[in-house]
Amino acid sequence: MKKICLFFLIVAASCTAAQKKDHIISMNGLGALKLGMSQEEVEKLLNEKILLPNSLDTINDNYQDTAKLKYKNIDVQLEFNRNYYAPNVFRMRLIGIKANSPLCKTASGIGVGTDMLKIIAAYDSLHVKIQPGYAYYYETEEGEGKSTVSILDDAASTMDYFSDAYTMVFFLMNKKVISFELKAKLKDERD
Amino acid sequence: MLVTTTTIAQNKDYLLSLDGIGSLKLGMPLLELEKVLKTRITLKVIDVDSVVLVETINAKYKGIDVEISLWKRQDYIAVDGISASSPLCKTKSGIGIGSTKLQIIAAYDGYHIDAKPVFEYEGDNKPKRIKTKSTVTVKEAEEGYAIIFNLVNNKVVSFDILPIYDDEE
Repeated sequence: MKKICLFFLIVAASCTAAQKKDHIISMNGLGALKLGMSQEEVEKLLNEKILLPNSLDTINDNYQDTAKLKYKNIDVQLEFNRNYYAPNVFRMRLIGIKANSPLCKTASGIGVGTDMLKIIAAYDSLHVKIQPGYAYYYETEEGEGKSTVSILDDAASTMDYFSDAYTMVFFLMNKKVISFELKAKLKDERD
Repeated sequence: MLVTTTTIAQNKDYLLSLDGIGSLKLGMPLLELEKVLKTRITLKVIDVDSVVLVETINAKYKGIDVEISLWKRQDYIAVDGISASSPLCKTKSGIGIGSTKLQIIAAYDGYHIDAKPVFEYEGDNKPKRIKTKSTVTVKEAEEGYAIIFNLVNNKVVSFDILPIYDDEE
């Protein structure tokens, strides 16, 4: 009996560890979902076909596209970018992951609900930007209590065009994280 | 009473803000700068070389060493940057030489803050973080006047006050 209980305990612990690993936030992704993955790789991981209408648009020249999907039971918004790897030949690659699930945490426990100062302390040696409002690519959404904390890796901080550059963005309300976004600026594969 | 008034006046002279130190202000024309510094400034580059529009001078302001960047605008020369490392200079909330990154961040709640390591570039042009050095830049908006605090081992050792516009960062 004791052996059976121990067995189930070990199985349960392994499942929990595997689940936690699925939701680990890092500079380059969320669990197995990694920035830089091709659309096909993401489709294989999520086990579903992703419709990206903009990528087929050759008139408006829209290079980016987003899709709202489920990853390991959590809602994610994925952003893809057209990436040329040869003249006139491209694939869509994952350059952004947005989510707000409290299941998602960094290895040091930063996630939804974390206080701003804890984020800053956790990333003490990296480039940290704090801005009022929610800072997006082209605009900032202002509002009482809103702020954005961005953590840039060295390539992003120095705008190194010859390396992949990653940024982890936390959106806060009244100094507490409510959602996050992982962004990548990928080097040109033609280089 | 006299001692208190003198102390308040001295503190005001060294008050560090986004637009300057005490009565030393960004954008101040050269003539006004000379009045504040109580000295005539002899330029060696601006107005000597017609192509060069910027010049940096070292001066004394109320007994402290300052480095002042001057910029020739269309019809006058003005202060475009102020640097110093005197412990007398403090912000209203007491931030100055010796302050830490977290103290600066706490003091400037609601501002744009950019805290980053300092990098050096090696032979292969790859950036390498200098472990002991960092800067914390504070601005009221995306662009405008800023204070850049220079830190060594997480403590402010000097600061620069200057205007920053998007393409300059």
